[in-house]
Amino acid sequence: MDTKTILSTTTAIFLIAGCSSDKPIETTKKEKSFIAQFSHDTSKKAFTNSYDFKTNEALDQHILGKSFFTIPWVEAPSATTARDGLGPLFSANTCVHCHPNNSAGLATNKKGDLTRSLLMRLSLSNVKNINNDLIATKGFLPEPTYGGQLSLNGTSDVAYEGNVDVIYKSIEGKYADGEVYTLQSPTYKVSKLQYGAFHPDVNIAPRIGLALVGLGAIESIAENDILANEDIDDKDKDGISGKANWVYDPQSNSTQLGRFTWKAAAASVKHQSANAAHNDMGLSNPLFPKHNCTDAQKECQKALKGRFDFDLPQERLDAIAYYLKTLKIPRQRKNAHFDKGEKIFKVLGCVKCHVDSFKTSDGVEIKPYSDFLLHDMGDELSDGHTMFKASANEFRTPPLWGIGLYKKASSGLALLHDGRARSIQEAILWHGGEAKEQARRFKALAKQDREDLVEFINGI
Amino acid sequence: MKKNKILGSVVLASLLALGVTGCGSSSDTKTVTVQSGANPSITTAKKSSALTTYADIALANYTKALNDAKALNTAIDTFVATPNTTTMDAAKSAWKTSRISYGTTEIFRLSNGPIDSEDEGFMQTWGAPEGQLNAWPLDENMIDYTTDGQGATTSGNIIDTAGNFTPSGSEATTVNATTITKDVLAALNENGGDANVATGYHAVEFLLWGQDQDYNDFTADTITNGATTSGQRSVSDFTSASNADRRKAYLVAASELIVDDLQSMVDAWTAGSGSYREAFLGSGTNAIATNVALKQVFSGMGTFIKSELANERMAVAILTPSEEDEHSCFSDNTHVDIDKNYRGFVNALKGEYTGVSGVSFYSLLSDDTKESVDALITDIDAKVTAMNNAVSSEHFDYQIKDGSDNKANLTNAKNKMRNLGDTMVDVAREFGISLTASDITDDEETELE
Repeated sequence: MDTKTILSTTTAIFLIAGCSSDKPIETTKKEKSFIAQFSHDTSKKAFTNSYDFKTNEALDQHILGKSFFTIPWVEAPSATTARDGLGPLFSANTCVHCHPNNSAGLATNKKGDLTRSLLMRLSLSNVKNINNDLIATKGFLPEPTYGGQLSLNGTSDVAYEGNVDVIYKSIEGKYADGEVYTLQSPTYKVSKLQYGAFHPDVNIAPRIGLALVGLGAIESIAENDILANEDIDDKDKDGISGKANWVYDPQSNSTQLGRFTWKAAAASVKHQSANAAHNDMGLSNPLFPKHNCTDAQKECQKALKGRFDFDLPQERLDAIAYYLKTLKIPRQRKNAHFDKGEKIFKVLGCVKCHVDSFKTSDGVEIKPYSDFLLHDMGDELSDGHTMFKASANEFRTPPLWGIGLYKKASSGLALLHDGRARSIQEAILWHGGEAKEQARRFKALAKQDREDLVEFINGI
Repeated sequence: MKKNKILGSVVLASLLALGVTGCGSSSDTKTVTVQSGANPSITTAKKSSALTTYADIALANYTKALNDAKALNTAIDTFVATPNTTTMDAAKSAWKTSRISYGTTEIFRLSNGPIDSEDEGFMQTWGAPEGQLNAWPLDENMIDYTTDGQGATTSGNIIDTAGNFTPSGSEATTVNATTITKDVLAALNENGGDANVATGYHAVEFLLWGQDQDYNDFTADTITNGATTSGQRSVSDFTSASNADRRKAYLVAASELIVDDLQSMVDAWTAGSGSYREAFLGSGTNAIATNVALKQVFSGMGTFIKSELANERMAVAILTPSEEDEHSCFSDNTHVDIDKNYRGFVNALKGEYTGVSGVSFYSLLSDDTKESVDALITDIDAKVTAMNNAVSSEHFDYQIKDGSDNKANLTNAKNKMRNLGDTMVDVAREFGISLTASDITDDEETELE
């Protein structure tokens, strides 16, 4: 009896509400996008929310990918058959290690030591006239003894490759209004090299883990929409060029538009997932079938492998890519000075590279604040590393969406390709090359305008 | 409320029809937005009564878990004093008993409660011991010797390192493990990485059972003890084997830590000034508002059964499928974990626990929500029973294998548990509580243009 009464009262209220007030009951024919879904979460888990899946099978695929992304891999052979095959040379034993809560990595820990989120890419400079398979498939010539990346760890019988330390030099500067700021400029020192000296032409390029936001949406943007912003020779004379990187994609065995990583060197989420699994964790996989040992590294060559053909077989690589492509994008968090900050963002010309609107393949508007093109960032940010079409000074415009949540998710903030910038202000001030003028204009802003701009960026 | 899958509940389906016909708006709707939906018969007084029942269950259940942990500790003391197969079996039996009562307490997790709240200050009074009690999966290789895939015995673990021990992993700190004590184990737990588990039920489990060598290999699986065999640690590990004394000390210290941590949970939930129970029921200096407490409970229950139990504990194991991903992989007791974790959810929802009576969340719900909840519970009950019955021929680690006749049952069970987690959105709504993104699911959706 009682419960029956409750039911009728409840429905009556709904009925009344539905007809009388503004719109407590709203009807819609719209269906949910599967390319881009959004979340209001602003907690440290903001980058980890899964899509709303229509089927258990889709959720299963996401969960499977997540398990391989988050649970530690172990050295082969072990009883942990699903996740053995780490190394022999590796930087970290989980993907999340360098992408904490799927957010950006940190350059240093609380003690001031470098973290493993910051890897050292090794290459040979002065290779302009060399044309071989490595250049064609990797986009650069790896250091002959150590390979393309310095591994800080090795499994039981395999020596790690070396250690890296950083020294930051303080650089003081002044805004136009006289306020002093301090930047830190890094110098890296490699020590304890376990396989002998580097090649004399070695170039060491630091790279920090990027936040994993909206990767599926980025992948789905029409190629022409990205290329429309190209202006390689700066024909419109606005000082901003913009150049697409064209990279070797092992999945299709063809040249594709690079969309991901600091140098836009990966064409797809799966491509970059496979690349990171191979270089950062030593996991062989269908796209990178060999172990990451050079010919000079005998112990690495001899080390026992996992039980499967690949440490990371196809279906698991697919699951990881699927996981990364089915994470909700944080919604914009509009704050008091958001609109004012946005105007400044546009007036300064930031938006020329940090493009604020694209469409996914199913027509959803996304606001990544990137053009996914390469730009000259000046000599001071140059990492000396060329990669496919990207020259030493050129970097892909990193997407800015969710940047205001990095600090909470990563327990710290380290911006730019090597994490040297400890704040959005510092990151802007480091802009050189094509964006030198924007940095100059930022320095000329009144304090309140600078704060409004940063508030806006934190809200996107 | 825009979620299609949650719309599956009978209440909302009928509301959809009412909304459309009642208002005469566009009739070809697929979804409906409901921004309010509180059940007016659920008064503040009734909410408080239901929260009190929940708190009573927490106290009663943690008290039972504490007593069972003390019995485990006693059985371990007896075992290490006189190690033989009888005392070892008694210790194993005590461990299995302790898992039953602990299993049902896990529903109190993920609710910003004393077991695992990350809040600073008041909430840290009880030490948030979940990671120390039940961390999983663990890298057993750090605790004691294991046999690797090539049949070799591993070394360089806590048991065989009588001196400074540094766990593997980045930023691990060195701990002096000359004498194995509670403090030493606590310092080693999750030191250098989440898998570096040194304490809790699963560390004790590993020391009592040893590795369960059932490799779930897709290809040649040659090292196996069979579908109904769990870990086969020999009693000689505690008598004639090297480091037998360190193994004993480890067991004693680890089981004492479990007792300490559960005592802290009992203290938190025991009425009194400064207790968590006091705050939870809205009194004292740290009082939590009724609606906040309700939201914590509902989102915790939904997240636990959907994200933790159905996804992390069941789906990962089923999908991989890997023994390493089953919860109690040494003792093959995973079916009990699943059963009791699920039972804890039903207990908390329906106010059922030995010695506890009072208003339950469930009792206040509308008939339609009760019906949809009951339909799922009846369904899951049958599937859990089927899982338990199948254990006589196949342990959980074999049931998850591709080709097992029991795999479909587990797959369906986890899918239904997800649905049960989703119903917490409906339950919460009747209490006037809106659950959003970080809770169980997002209340927003992206619309195609």
